[in-house]
Amino acid sequence: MIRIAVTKGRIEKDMCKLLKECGYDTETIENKDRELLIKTKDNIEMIFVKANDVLTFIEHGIVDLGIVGKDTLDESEFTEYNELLDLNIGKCYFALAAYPEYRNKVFNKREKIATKYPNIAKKYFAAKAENVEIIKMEGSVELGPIIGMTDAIVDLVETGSTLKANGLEVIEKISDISTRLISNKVSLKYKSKEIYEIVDKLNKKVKGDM
Amino acid sequence: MDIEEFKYLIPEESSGVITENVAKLREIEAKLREIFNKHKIEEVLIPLFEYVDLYKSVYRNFDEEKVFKYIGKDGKVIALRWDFTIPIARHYFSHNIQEEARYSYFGKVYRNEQTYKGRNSECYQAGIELVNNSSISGNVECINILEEVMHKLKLDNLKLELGSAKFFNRLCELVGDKEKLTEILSKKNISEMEKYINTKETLNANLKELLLKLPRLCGNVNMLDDIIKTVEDEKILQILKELRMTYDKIDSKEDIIFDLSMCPTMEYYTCLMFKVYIPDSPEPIVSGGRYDTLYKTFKKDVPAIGMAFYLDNILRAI
Repeated sequence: MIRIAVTKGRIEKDMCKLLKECGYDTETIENKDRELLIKTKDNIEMIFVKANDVLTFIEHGIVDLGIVGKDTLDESEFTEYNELLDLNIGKCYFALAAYPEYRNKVFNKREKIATKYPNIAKKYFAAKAENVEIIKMEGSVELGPIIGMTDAIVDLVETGSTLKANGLEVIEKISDISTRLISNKVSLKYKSKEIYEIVDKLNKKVKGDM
Repeated sequence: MDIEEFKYLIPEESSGVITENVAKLREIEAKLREIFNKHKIEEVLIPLFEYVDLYKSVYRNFDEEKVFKYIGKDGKVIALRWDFTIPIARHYFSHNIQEEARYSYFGKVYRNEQTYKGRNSECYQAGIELVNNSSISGNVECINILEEVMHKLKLDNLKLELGSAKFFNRLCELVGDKEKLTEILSKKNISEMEKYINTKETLNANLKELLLKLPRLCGNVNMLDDIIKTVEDEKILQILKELRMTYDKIDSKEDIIFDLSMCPTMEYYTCLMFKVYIPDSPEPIVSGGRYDTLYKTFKKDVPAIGMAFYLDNILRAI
């Protein structure tokens, strides 16, 4: 039996579709109501959790595999996992975004950046040798510049429509993001056959689609 | 919070008072001690306070965030013991000995882990350091002691995994991109390796083939033999044959597997590296390796091999 933690929301939907295309039974996932733990006919158990919790469950060996965005992996300081595959779903990118006038603005004090990803933002500005003040937000980061609390934002951009609707634009692209298949390091030692069977099926499909 | 409340509380970093399995822990310690004594390994008590500079002089990328520290009377930054290997290497230097030395230790190391993650900042370890012993026979002795301990602790279904820092370093030499290779191999990242190889047009075809397989090269001795048969680079061949020779001389082989994508977790590893896994622990319960250049930092050019037993992980699983 393989236990997988899947990030709730869009990743969950994309992953369910991918599994179905690879020939896995997804009936119980599609028809789930409020159950937190789902079993499938392929002897897989799935739990659906918030992105950061996927990593916590992997770290403590509660699950063998995790389906989580690269954004979550990059933001976390935990590194003891295997990142087996790029699933090529949930594609988007990190960007610095602001009102267009940001480009030519001269700052006479430390500029302020709103983000859900303080570590990524910190690393990005450190590489440019820029000192900024980071303000962590939990959602609707775009509000930062709109309400005048911050000068810019560092956030995930998928289509850019939210930015556009609010008059903001991408100033600089930071890095590409997609969904990854990760594993606990010890699980891979004891269940390598079952895990690599899943890896092979997924990789074949993912590469076929590219 | 009222100051009165704090007298009942312990800080987040603290392991708290342990009442569970204390007898069991002492029993495990006794078994380890018995084996270490039998092999004439001298137990040493290592101080709790060290200069942070001691660790920084050895680890180029020393992560100071994980160190509990304070400013000492001399204005220098003092660390709570972060590991045992480095202070023992310094001890060997300061006692001006040249011959073989064998040390064992028991105690906690202190690592300031992030809070609210269910991690432990006080880690109870036991271990040995075998100083100035020669390559293959030293490897074999260390592994045999390890297996004796594992046997004595009656751990079921364990896996003793061997890897080679020399093999990893040779690959880095051939590919010329240590950082990238570490990033890929430490995560066994199949997609990233494929992507990376596609950008490397100048690499030799045989090496490319090996690299593509590498994230998954974990298995028994047959896997190692298959690679020995196909690999062309003379140095890699030599390194893998050495690994095979260590394996041949180990007394009990049934639990042994190889992981050729194992990356050095300590930058001072130069040759053999190993880890022990059991199904009930999400992390290894033992890790060790050979470090033939570490003692040079302390002006003693002697080879050494050592390993640490993570007693918290062992205790949790037993």
